[in-house]
Amino acid sequence: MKKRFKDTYTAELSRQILEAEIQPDQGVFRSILNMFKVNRAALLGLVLIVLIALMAAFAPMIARYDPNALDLTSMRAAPSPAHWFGTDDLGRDVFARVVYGSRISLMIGFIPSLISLVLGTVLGLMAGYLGKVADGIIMRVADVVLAFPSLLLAMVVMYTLGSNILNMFIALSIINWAGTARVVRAQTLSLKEKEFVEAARSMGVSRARIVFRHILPNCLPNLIVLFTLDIPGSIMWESSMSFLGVGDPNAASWGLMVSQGKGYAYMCPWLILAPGLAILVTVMAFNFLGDGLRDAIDPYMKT
Amino acid sequence: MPNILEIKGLVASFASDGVRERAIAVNGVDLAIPAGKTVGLVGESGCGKSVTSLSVMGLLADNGRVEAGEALFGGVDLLKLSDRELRKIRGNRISMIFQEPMTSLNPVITVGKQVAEALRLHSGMDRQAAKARTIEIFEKVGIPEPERRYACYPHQLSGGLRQRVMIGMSMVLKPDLLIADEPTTALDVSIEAQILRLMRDLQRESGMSILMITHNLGVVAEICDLVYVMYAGEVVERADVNALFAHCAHPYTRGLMASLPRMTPKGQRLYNIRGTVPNLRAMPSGCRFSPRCEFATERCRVEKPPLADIGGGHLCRCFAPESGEGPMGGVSR
Repeated sequence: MKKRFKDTYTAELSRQILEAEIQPDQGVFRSILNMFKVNRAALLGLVLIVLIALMAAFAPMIARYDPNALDLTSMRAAPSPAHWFGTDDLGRDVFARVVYGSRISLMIGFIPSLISLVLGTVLGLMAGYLGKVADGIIMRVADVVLAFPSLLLAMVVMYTLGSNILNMFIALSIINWAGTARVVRAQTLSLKEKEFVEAARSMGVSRARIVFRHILPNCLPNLIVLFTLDIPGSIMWESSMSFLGVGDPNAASWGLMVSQGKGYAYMCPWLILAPGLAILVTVMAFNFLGDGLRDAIDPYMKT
Repeated sequence: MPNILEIKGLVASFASDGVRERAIAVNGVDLAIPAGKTVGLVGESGCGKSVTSLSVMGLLADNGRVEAGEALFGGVDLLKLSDRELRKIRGNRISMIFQEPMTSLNPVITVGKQVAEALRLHSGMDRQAAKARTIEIFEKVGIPEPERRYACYPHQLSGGLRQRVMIGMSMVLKPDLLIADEPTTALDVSIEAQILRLMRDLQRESGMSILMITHNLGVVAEICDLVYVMYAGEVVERADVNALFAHCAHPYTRGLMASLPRMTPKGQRLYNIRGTVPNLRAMPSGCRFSPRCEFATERCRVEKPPLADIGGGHLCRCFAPESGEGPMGGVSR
C-alpha cells in the first residue's frame, strides 16, 4: 500500500515537472487573467466598462428620446415611467442625455489619454536613453507642467485656444503627458544599463531600434496601467472644467449636465444625480481595473 | 601566423563624479589574437580585462574613453571607426557572449526573434529565411526541439540553454572573432564543460578566433592556446598555454596558480596573494605588483619593468622572472 502511494506520488511529481517544462511560467497575461478571478473589484470594473462602452455604441437603441429634442410641455419633470431620469429645464430627456453623454465622456477619457501616453512615452524614452541635454530639457519642462496646478493650466489652455472639444483634448494631453514621461524615463534609465541592451549593441543594433524594439516592450506593462488610470483622470478633469464653465458648451458631456443642472439642484436633484452617478460609476470602474492590473503586473516589474 | 586582431598601446580611462582626474583602467595593453586560435585574457576583477574588449568594440559606458592606441582588425583601426561603421562589424564580424545569460537576453522578446534580428540586420534576410536559419543554428548549438524553443521567452529556458542561445546568436553570422566575456561564470561546472566543448567544436568547424576573458584558470587550460595575464590595467605575462602552466614566470601568475585548490596533504593552507589590487588613481610607482610581491626589491619599487621576452615568445613584465622559490614552491600543473 505504502509503495503504491509512493509510486503514484512520484508519477504525479514527474507529471508536474513535465507540465512545468511545457508551461514553465505563467507570463504577464496569464497573471492578469488570474487576477480577475481573485480580484472581484477589477472584474466588476471590467464588466462596467464593457457595459458603458456598449451603451455608448448602441445609444440610439437604448434611449427612447432624442437627447436634444425639446419638450416644452414637460420641463423639469420628475422621474417617471415615461422619463426614467426625468427631464431638464428645456424638457430634454435626462436618461437619453446620460446615455449619449457616455459617448462624449468616453471619448474625453480615451483620446487625451492616448495622446499623452504616446507623447509621454516618446519623450520619456528620449530623456532616459539620450540623457544629457535632451534629458535636461524634457524633464525640466515636465517639472514645470507638474508643478503648475493642472486644472489652472488646462483652463488657461482652454481660454487661449477657445472652448471646443478638440482644444479640450489638447488641454488634457498637456497636463497628462508629464507623469507618463517621468515613469518611462525612470524605467528607461534602469533598462538601458541592463546587459541585454549591451548585448544588443554588441550585435550591431542601432540606437533607435534598441529604444523601440528592446526597451519599449519592457515598459509596456507599466504603460497599460498608466493608461487605464489616465482615463478616469481625464474624465474627471473634463467634468470639473465643464462644471466650471470652460468646457465645450456643445458637447453634452456628463460634467456639462451637472453644471447646467446645478441651479435646480434643490428642486430637481435628478438633474445632477443622474450624470453625477454616471461619472462616479465610470471613474470607479476604470480605477478598479487599473488598480487590479497594477497588482497583477507589479511582480513582473520587480524582476 | 596572421593576427586577426592586433591591439597596440591601448589606454582607456573613466571619469567619475566629483573627481577631476580620470582613472586609467587600461594602461598600454598590447594584445594579438592569431587567426583560428583561442586567446585567454586572465586576471582578477577590475584589472581591465572587460574594458579592453569593450574598448575594441566601441561599447565603453558613457563615462569611458579610449585615450590612445589602435586595434587593427583586418587592416582597419576599430578605434577610429564611427559608430555607424562599427555597427556593421559588431555582431557580424566580431561578436560577443556575456557572463550572465539571463540578463543578456531581452526578457520580453522570444529567443528566436532575438537571434533572427541579428540575422536580418546584417544579412538582410527576410523573416522566413531568418527563422529557418535560426532554427538551424539552434540545432547546431545543441538546443533540443529547436522549433519549439524558437518561440520561448528567455525565462522559460534553463541557464545552460540560454547560454547556448547566446552562443547561437553570436555564431549565426559566422564572425571572424568571438569575444567571450566570462561565458561560463554563471553556470555550474558540468554545464560549463558542455559549453566549452561546444565553443571548441564550433571553432574547429568555422575557423574563427576566440578571445576568452576569464578569471578561471581551469577554463584557460581547457580551451586556450595562448594566454595573456593582466594585472592593474597592464599585461604582465604572455605565454603559450602549455608554457604558462609548465613554468609561469611572473610572481603574480605564480600566485594565481598557487592559490588554486589542489590535492595536497591535509592541513596545508591554501596560498593567497596578500593585499588587494591598487586603486586606479593611486598606482604604485615602479612595478605595479611590487607592493604585493614577495620578491620585490628596491629596484622594483622605483623602476617599471618592461614586458620582456624570456625565451620562445614568452613575455613577462618582471626584472627577475621565476626568481626564488618562495612559499608557493615549484608550481606546476
